[in-house]
Amino acid sequence: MPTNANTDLLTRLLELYPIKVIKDYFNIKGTFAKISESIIAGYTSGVIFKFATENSNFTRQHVHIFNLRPKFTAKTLNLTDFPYKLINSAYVNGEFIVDCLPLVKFDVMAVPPYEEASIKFHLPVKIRILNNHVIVQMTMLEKNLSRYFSEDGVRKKVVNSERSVSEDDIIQELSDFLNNRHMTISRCDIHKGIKKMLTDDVIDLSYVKDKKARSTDTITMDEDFTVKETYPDAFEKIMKNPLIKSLLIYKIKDDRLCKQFTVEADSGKIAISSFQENITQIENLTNEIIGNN
Amino acid sequence: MRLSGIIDRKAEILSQLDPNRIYVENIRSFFNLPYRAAKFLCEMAVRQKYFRKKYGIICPNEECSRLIRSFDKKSEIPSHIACNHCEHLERENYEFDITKNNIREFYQLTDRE
Repeated sequence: MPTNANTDLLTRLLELYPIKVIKDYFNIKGTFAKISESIIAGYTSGVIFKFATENSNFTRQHVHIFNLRPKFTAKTLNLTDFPYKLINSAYVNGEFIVDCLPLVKFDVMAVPPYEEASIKFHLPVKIRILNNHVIVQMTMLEKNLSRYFSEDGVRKKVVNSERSVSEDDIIQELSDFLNNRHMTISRCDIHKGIKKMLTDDVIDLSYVKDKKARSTDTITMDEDFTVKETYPDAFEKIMKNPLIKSLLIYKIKDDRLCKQFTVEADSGKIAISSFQENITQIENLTNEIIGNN
Repeated sequence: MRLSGIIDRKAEILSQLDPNRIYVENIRSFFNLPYRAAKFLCEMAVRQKYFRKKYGIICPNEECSRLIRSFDKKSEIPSHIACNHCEHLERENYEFDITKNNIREFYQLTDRE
């Protein structure tokens, strides 16, 4: 049965990061099991939390973009009564950044034999407040919870799991917190920003679900083909429609932006399901979308 | 009529399909043949080097079904594959063992004149 001791939570936190980033930060070599054990034994929780927040831009994550009213012009924010475990806050390059680590619990049922257990995770969350927008970046947690359940070395099957604090819960708490400071957030439609990047050949579509007047169409491209390059006529029509969900490929041969990401344009949601190659890719991506929006 | 004659006459129309993605069904419907005859025609075209045979791996997720990757030889096909789309679209399963049900053969028109 999985336990939730401090060392378990810290190990699960480190698992959310690319091993290379952990090795470079702590200047350590070895397998994940070895290095996580020695980091947890040799450093305080505070140091590990600091690593987690400083490097959260490397993790797989969901990014939510919101409009902010009124415009944020201050260089600080009163964080009294902030609803989650605060790790860091700072005003950097015109943005007020808050890093926090909400505790998320999964109540899990696994078989065979039947077992019920709770697994807790520290969830790295970065909140960026800049002028007219709030960007909330939430690390994706382990989807395959069965890896924490085994019987005689055989992995068990998870038949049900319930998450205690969802991303929507966190956003609602944040919204309430900002409301108490006379600020309002609302989902940002990023169609304009995404379509500008598509027009400029910065990105192309590998998958797209778009809304036509009386139907919903999906194009799923084979292998590494992309829509604009392969079907330019269809692309022109798609560009006039709402994009319900799309998988976008970065077309320029550098590492400025994330290589691949999915977008739900009307609600300003971005999902980045692979580790990032450098710490600025997600920030560059969100800034470029907002800048073109 | 000889096979080369048929191919020559139809090559232009066939190429409108996509010369790199010719499925047996494209040939069957084009010549209005039974499936087995169309398959035989494709295999004959491979032997005479008009077509190149390819093996595409299809994602078994029903909501996806895309061709993940293609190979020139059966021996090159790995036992396991991940669908990049399903991973990024956060579908529950995105890594699969490859079975013969996942393999879809198709053909490419060669450069032979």
